[in-house]
Amino acid sequence: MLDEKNKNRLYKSLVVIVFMIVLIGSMLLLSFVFTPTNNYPDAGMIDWNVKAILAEPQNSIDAIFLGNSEGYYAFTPLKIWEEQGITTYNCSAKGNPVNISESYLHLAFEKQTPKVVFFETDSIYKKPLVIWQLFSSRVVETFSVMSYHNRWKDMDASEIGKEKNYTYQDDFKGFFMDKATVAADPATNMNPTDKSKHIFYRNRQYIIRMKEYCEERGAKFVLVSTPTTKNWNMKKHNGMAEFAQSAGIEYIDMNFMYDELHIDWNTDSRDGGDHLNVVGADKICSYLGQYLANTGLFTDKRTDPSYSKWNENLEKYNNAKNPS
Amino acid sequence: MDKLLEILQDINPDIDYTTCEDLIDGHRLESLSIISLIAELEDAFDITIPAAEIIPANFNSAKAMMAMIERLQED
Amino acid sequence: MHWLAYQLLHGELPQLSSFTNFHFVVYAIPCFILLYVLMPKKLKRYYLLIASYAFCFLINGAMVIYLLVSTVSMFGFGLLLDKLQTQMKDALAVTEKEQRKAVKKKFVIKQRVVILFAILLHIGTLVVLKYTGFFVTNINRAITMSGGTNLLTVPHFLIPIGISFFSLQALSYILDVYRGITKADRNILRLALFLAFFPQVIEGPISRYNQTADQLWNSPQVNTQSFTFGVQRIIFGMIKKIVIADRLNSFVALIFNDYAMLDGGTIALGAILYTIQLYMDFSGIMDIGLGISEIVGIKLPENFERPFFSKTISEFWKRWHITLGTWFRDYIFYPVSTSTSMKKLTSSARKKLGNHYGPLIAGSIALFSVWICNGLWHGADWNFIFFGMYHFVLILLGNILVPLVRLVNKKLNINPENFFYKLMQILRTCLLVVIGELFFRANGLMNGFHMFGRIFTDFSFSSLTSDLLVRGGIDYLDFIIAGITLIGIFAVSVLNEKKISVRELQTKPVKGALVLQWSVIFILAIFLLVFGAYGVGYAEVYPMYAEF
Repeated sequence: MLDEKNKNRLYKSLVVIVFMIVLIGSMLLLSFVFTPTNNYPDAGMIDWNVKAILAEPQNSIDAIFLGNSEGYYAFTPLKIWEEQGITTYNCSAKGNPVNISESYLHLAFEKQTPKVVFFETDSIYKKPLVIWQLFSSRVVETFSVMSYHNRWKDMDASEIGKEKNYTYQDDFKGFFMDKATVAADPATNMNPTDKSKHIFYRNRQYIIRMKEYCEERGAKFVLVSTPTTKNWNMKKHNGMAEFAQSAGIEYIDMNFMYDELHIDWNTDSRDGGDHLNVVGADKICSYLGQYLANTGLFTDKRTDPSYSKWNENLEKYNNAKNPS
Repeated sequence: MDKLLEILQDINPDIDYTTCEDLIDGHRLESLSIISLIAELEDAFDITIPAAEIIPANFNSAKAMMAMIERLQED
Repeated sequence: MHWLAYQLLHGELPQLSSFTNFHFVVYAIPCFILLYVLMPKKLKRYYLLIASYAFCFLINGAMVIYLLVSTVSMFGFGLLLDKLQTQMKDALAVTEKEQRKAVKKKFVIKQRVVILFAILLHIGTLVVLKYTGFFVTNINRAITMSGGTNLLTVPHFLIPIGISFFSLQALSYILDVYRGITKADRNILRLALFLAFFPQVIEGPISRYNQTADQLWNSPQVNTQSFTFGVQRIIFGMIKKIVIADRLNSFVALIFNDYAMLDGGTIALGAILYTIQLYMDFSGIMDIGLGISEIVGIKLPENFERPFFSKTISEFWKRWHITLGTWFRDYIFYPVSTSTSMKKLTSSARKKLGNHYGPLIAGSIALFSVWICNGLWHGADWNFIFFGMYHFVLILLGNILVPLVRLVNKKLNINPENFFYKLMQILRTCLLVVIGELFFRANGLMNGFHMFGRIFTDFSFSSLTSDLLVRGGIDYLDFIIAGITLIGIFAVSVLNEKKISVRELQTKPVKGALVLQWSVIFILAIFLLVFGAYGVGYAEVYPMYAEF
């Protein structure tokens, strides 16, 4: 039987264990309370522009874009709509590591069956998250109160407990229109070299897994390097080209096409060659629209009445670009 | 001991030194009084009080001070 | 398996930045405690040492090198002093009484030379790292003013975090050995642990060898009570830091950066908020560090004793950043004020000027030394020097006016123990402290004067608009939650001030005291989780004092 000392010890451990259980339970409960059920931007949704793809009508998106901030500022679906009548969606978000992009790929396929998936290459050279970081992001995901706790300021109590229902559509389809212009120095980033930059093993694996995921669902997976004088160079190109070839993935490097795309580094970057602004984004998306049209997979939906909303959005887009 | 109490009375007459045990920790003797006290003690008892001895434990009561003085006189 | 090998090869270790960093809170603290509990008693001390060095390495690799050099210096100088002291004893034993003084003097001088080298090493490193830029900039200023054009290049050193704190700690050990307060330690590992113990290494408390070295080396077992209260204290500190200090951070920064466009009232508010931020940040980090130590059964010295209940500036400095104050007291104030020449000065001045003003001359000279050092310790900038001089003058004035105040109080029949009288004293002291912190935080001394001037020439709150709040990333709800939290902390302080321990209250119930204690932890943790200023919209703020 238990003597006094052991009883005491058991009691103490019990208090701490019950505390842990109650704490974790409360955190889960609070996570349920604090996580927004709708995706209005001011509800505090993280990467709401990406998650708004869930508010698009079923199977209405022809192609999607993934990536980090390079893609976020570069892929503008409405330009492609304007010129080709093909519907695309930009699922890039600032600072996204490759594994998060992978989860956004899965998110996109929840309600859509895109035929082409473009992946912006910049994030592939970033350090992949390590084991504890992955665990951390899992912790933060599970206890989402850690992400959404600041909503205590303006939470709508009637929303608590409702089923997840995303109704807020993003007019610009995930693209962020930045009109700032900071001229870049003349591009020397693509000066020839034989060297090639090493790609982290795990990032390779993520990419190959995404490619397989797309192929299983009848979609084509394409790597794209958008123009940036600061974040891309010949060494990175060589590494990426070798990897793409070995993995059997099509690879487009727009950094070889500054002339062809009419990129003017005095006007087309928001921050001196780091990221494109809307002027640059329009230029590269003309090209990508043409690329999509050339695949012959898509029909022009500009006159289709069920897509009339896209035309309204285009008008908003052009007004925002050139306010009268 | 009387000589010490006399010096202490001279520095601050408002304190009962025979009973007080927290002259320093109770903020009763301020640093300026300590400076006077040390100069006076050295004169009166013909000792040198090194900086190492200036710690609360040695100055919290008249008794503690006396103990310190006696110790320093032996050196 | 290649996965793990790969990560080790590429050195992809988690980045720790401070006690309130996500990784630190979620993994580092729990793992540290768990391993400490499981570690066999004999190995606990080595585990503490390794954990401390790992922590420092994850924060900043350079820090490890400075810690190692400092430890070797402590070890070497300590043994050297010990050797000289033994030699002196041996020599004195065989010397005639008349010659003892001369022999002693010879050895004291030798020891002083050793001390000089130790000071040169520790303080010299600090001076070179922290002040070279300042001196070069000012020399350049002088060159420019005299029409020269050959400016010197300003060097930039990588200053390891915490060096201002652990350098003083290392030096105090060497000085204590010299003074005979501490025996020279022949175990370099114990010295290493004393210096690098991670809860104190970033920004203090600056411990003395006698306070912590043996405790650490004996590495006690964890017990339920200290574990429970340690956890409470950690969360309490995190609330101070994350709910209040970090919430105010960007708004305070905005006011101090853009003061030129703001009116006096807003600037005054900024100074008050900065003072709150600094106190909550610094004392919060102390609570976390002392809480972690308490869990493993180690008692570090306290660094704060409710400073904003002080009635005078002099008292304030006995209750704010206590371990720095006592360091300066023990190693600068008393050595200077009781040096031979100063003692003579005091004795003769006392005969002429009386009890109060007699020791004031020597005291003031010592006080001046302390405050110059205090200002410079905080950093190489004119506003830190001004900050030191400001407090020097305030304390000096306080000392000079004591007899006058006593006289006036007697004449007007004011009882200094009266509640309202004390309250007025406390408020006055707070006001003076806030003014000091305004200069302390200002971006340069001139800006400090401009800001201070504006409080008098342009006092209104018209620039405190909602637009300003938006730019400062703060809204009225932030002020409300910060205010409520402050009231809670204030309530605890009032209880402590009345010598009522919040801890004792929690141990009172005969049955269920432990349940009560863990319920308190639960409530504090949930409060922190929801109302902490972390995550989206807030930047992680590094412990403010670690930069000094």
